[in-house]
Amino acid sequence: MMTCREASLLASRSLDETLPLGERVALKLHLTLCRGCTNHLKAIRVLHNALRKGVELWEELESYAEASLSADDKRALGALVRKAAEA
Amino acid sequence: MTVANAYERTLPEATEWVALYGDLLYRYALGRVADTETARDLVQEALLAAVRARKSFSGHSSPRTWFVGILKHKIADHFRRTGREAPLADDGAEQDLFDHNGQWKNPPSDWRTSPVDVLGRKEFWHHLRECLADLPPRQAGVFTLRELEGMDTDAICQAYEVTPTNVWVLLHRARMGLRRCLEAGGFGNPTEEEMP
Repeated sequence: MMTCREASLLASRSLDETLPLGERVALKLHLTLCRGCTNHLKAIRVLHNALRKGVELWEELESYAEASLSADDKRALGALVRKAAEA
Repeated sequence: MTVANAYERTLPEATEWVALYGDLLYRYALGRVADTETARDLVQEALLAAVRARKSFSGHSSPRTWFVGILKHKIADHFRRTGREAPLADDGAEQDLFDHNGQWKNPPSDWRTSPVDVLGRKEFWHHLRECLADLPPRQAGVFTLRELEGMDTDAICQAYEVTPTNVWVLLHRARMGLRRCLEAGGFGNPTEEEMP
């Protein structure tokens, strides 16, 4: 029986690729017996799916964000770019 | 002054780039590195790279997409550099999470409700961004490339020059850290004794 330390790593990896058969079976067995690891996988899967769906919202938030370059930064950057373009 | 238009297929004069795309690129970078100074440096690197590459602008994509594409490369470079500075080792967090038998010290609680539903989407994203900023840089970097840029493990391995095993470990630690950070912020209905 694998430990929770090992199972939680496999659970995370299962979100990134199809696990090899042996690992997949071992993880599944562990999950049927372990509520903590089941909860962990559920939580990180919620996070994973939310990000999948939410990338546009994330970018939308960025465009709403107040953050902008300062006037000084813009002047300095503008001068650098101009100089590079002329070179 | 030229108006930035997403459908425009010609590249504006370099002298106009900062005014047209500076803030856009800055916000994009800031959303990923969460540090104003680094974000500004990355915008500068991207703009200078764009100067060198401007002859190769093909018009297949909008200038905006083209600039963001260059910036993405610079962000990946940045994560690779910061990654190099910190060798991947046992970061000690595992000892706090698991006992010597590898069992949870505090088993994770059941996220009965999606954190997105509980606090509303905007709040969730703001909180997530703060949690992401608290992670060790390399974990945050790999997580960002994977979950926000949608890169697969192979592409991240190349960007970071690390093995797949290390990418899995970094993603695992990032997710673990984010789950705990989100729970500490009241997401997912953890019970009192499970709060860190």
